Amino acid sequence: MKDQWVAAMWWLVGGYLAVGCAFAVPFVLRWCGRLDPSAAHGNWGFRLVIFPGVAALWPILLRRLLKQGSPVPPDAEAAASAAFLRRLHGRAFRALAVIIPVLFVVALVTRPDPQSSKIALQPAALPGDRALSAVNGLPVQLSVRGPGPGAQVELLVTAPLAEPMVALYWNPESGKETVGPDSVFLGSVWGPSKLVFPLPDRAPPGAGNLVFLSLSGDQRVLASVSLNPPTGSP
Amino acid sequence: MSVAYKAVGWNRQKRIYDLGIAGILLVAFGVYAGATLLLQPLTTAETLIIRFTALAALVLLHLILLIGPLSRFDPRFLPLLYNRRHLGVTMFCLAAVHGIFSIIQFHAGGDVFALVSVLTAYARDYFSFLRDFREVADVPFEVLGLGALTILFLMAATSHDFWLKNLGPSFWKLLHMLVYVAYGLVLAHVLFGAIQSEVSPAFPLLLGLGFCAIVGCHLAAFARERRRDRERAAAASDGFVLAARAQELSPDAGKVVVVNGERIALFLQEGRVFALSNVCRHQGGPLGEGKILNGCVTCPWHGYQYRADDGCSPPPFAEVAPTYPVRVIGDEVHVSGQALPLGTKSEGALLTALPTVAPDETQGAGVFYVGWQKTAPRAIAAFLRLRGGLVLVALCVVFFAAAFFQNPVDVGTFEFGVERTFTGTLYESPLALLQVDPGGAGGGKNFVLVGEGKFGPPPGLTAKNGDRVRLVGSLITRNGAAMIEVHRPESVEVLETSAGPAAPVVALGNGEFVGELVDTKCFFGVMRPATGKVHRGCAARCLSGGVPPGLLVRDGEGNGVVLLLAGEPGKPFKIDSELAARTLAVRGALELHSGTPVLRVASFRLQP
Repeated sequence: MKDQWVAAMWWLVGGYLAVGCAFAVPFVLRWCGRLDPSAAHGNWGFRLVIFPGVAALWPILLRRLLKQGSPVPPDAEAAASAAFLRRLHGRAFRALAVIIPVLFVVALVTRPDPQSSKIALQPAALPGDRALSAVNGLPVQLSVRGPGPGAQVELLVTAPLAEPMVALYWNPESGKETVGPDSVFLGSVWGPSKLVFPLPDRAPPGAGNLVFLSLSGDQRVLASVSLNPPTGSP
Repeated sequence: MSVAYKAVGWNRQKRIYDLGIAGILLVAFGVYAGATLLLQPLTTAETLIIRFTALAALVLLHLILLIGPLSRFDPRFLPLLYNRRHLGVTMFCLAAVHGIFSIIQFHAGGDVFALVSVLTAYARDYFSFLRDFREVADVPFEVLGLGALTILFLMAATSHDFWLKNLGPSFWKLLHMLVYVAYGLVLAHVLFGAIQSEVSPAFPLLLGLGFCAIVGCHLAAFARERRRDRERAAAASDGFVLAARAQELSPDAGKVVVVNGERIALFLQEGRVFALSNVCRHQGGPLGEGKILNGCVTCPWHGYQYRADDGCSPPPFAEVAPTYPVRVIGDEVHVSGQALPLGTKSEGALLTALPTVAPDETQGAGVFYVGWQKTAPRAIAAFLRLRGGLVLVALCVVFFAAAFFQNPVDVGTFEFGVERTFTGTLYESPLALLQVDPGGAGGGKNFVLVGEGKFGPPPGLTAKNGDRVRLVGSLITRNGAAMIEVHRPESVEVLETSAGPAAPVVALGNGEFVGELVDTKCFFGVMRPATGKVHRGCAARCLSGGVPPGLLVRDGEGNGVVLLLAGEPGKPFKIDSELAARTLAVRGALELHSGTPVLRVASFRLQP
């Protein structure tokens, strides 16, 4: 729907209500008494209370005024109307009893999973047991699978991280504990979870550093781990 | 039954009723506001108002819809029915406050008129569910709420006997039966609005319980009515049918019988049986469930009265109910289904075999409630006091649960009304940024610049790329991310032209990020909530007004940071505002600009 069509619709609604307000002023002051003798002596509170309804339903009242203010005739079919409204009431609730549960199911099934907005780049988990080494300062244990094409880094995050967003980078220069222009973004770390990141194909065996960088606040390096096989690992 | 209309025909019962409504709402507000501010002190006043009025209106709507069937099952609930329109108008007022505050907060102050925005912020999604079923959850819930509010307005505006009389009872009743449509719209509004954002299962559970209670009661009441309508007797050749036996009648109390498919009320008054239509001319109340009071048949709903012999209301009132011929044969009461001309006086039929009933069960008002009487019968008052207390406790639990289980508010800070002076260098790429001079607060850091309301940086600012300037504005911060809402852009003072290049950019590599598209101004601290579907209209307006878009990426714990989205170097970046609050997968290069993470967007796609 275009904005201008909606704006035009609101103009129409506004115009209708403006005419209604213009009609309502003389109606609540004088004309209401022509329709209903009880309204002729109504107090100011009554006139104020009916004003919004007059502004909204003015065509009905205008039509009745133009018909010489004839009072609404006694409802000869009141009993039939009551029976009709009873049936309508039953049908309305039978319809609601069907429609609303369907809406419930649809709304709950299709609502976004609040935990699904995770950062991508999460490859499938590695099979088999892995030897893990701890990363200083972070509740993370790390292992590396490789060397060669298909080399992967596996992280086991054992506790929630203090930082809201931590990124893992591979810096090809061994011993470099910072993130530089040549660094490759491997993915983001959250937890507790098990995460696997593929290393770039160009990564030589055992070369480079893994750098954990906080992306919030001052973007400081939280930890750095050399890709050289950790001492004592099988 | 007033002769000259008043705004409200106050009497003691109505005052007690209205004081009860006000008291319950005050307690509910105290519980909800107290618990919310205790558990989430950062909640803003407007968010508190929007949420409380929504919850209170929803709860009142459920109570209103329960009163009808409860009164059918137990007449001791009838006092609640007597003044139900005050409950309805109160509910509408709460819903209107909710709607007005929501429209102002989420749609006003942007590049599109607020009422237009309500209908167009979701324009992309009106029929998208036809293409993909999963898009159903993105239906424009605010439009559903607006529809419900319109119906509730018409009902509230016509909640006066003037309208009942001048629209005619049948049309008036039909108009007010639209409440069932409004109820359906309200439920859909909540299901596809708040419940899409709220994480706790408590909310759908509470809503489901309320719905089951209402539909269960109404369907049970309807089944009861239908059973009654099926009790028909065979008509004799002259049109009279056996309607009742003498022992079934009680002095001064009514009995409803069905003759030729029409409900007729039988009354035994001073030994004579009278029959008149069961339908009260006021709101269609069941006269046969009423009693004779002060010599008149009195409707149990609102106390309208009719003489049993001619069906006319006592002067000065002018309502007339049809009467029917009655005859008595032995202990059998026979009634004709053919009504007498309106206002015809009937002699009734003398009942020789009078029923023997204990006087205390039938005489006078007994346990019969009439709203315009000074006091309610003791038994009914005690009954309602107990139920009212239970309802109050239940409401306190519901409002506390709502405060306890609601999503935590977002945690930014917006120094609304506080102006600060900032000095630094303006850069337009990748976004309008002010790199504040070293030395002061936030020195060396980049502050994203936005305009007032739901607008991006004022156009004049970007023309001063590389200039060192002094400007005034309000600070917006969240978790180290910072933004300035620039005030009076025409008064920005240029201190030095071409002050120097921007700080070096740290390239962090390429990747694909999945997250929610947010407007950074709200997320950094202006709005709480600043994410999710309930905030979607506001995010759409902010994005269309030029506020920099951001991608909110979260970890498994729900924590998140926003990556500012920008185009690739040299390319402008514009994103469709109707994608606001949707989940996107964005591929691009991540950069750090003096600590500000910026994602240079190469491509993106909508995640289902």
